[in-house]
Amino acid sequence: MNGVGVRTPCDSAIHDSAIQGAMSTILRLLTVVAGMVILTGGALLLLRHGDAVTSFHTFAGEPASLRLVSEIVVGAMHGQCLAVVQFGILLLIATPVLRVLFVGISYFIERDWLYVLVTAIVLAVLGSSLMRHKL
Amino acid sequence: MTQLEFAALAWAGSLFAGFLGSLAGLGGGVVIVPMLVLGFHVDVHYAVGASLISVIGTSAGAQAAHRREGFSNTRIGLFLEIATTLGAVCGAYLSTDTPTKWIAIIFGLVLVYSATASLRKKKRADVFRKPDPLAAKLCLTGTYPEGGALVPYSARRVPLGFGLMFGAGTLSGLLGIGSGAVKVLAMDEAMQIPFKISTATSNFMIGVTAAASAGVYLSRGYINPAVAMPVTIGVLLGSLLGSRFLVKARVRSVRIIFAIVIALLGAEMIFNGLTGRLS
Repeated sequence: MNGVGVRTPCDSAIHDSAIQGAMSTILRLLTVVAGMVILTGGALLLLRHGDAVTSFHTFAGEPASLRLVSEIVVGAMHGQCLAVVQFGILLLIATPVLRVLFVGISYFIERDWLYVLVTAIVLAVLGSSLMRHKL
Repeated sequence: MTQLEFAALAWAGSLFAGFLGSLAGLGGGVVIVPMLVLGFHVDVHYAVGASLISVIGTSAGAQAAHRREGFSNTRIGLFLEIATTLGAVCGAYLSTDTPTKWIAIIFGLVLVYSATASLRKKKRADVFRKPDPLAAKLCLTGTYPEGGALVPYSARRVPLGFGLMFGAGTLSGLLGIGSGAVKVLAMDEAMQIPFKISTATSNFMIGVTAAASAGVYLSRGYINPAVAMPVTIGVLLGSLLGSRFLVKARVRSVRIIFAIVIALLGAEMIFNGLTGRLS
């Protein structure tokens, strides 16, 4: 069974630790909250504008209020239904990012520097895509 | 069509797509864009944006529903995510400058490929061979239980797999799909990772890849909340239902029907793209 010398140093208790359990609880909660926020915003939208005639045939590009993270948060606070949906979508996008961050923390605890570096690169790419147009 | 009618119909369609998609093991994302574009005449960019969000939702939902990570190999997943996220950002930027016509044609080709790939017989995992020096250095190895014993495995041809993953990421960003078919191709065929491991690892990666392009889509104004809302909720519910159902019945006939539907949708996307009906 132990034919592979390289295997042992690669093994880790990453799936079993208590920290891991707490992390996956947080991720599960975030997913549920994101879904709830999207549902709430959707219900508001249909209650207020359910009978408005729509067409999504022509691409117009969303206004800044639904594009920029800061403005989405402000709009959601004011109860604008589309901004609430968009805020839920932001939370949903944040879920996998947080998952990567948590995995990185586990590797940090295990002092697996190679994979701390790998995590940092992935987070940098994710961050650049989310942040680039923020301002 | 009123807002309410659109939301109800798109929700029902997405629920069905998510349900069938998870039964066929392809994810619902792959039929969302054709459904929105061909059925609801939604602009391709909005459709791709909504699909991307539903892909993230499905991936997060599946991971929330299953307490165990299964057989996913976090190191392999994380390492390959460097490639998929970079590809996804490239794909998202490409999407802005790519004419609708070409997005439709590429999408159609990917659909046809996914349909054939989903019907291919799964090969049994290879017996363990000496790991690649690079795979060993990167710890892209592990074990999985089979028949009461732990079977060791190791990734092979790492650079090829990494390159294919970049391609998978680009397709994901360009078309708003999880591109699970290409991811499994890269891991199964190129890197020769056992099927159990590659499927579970690909699930872990799909959400992260989609998040990378979703950021670009959102900030460029391609995510329309009124379109994304019913689609995301529908696909999420549908795929959760599907995975419950899957435990009871693993039916090959569903796979075949879904593959035919996907291939036909692919053909229609290519046709519409070529005849310029979508622009």
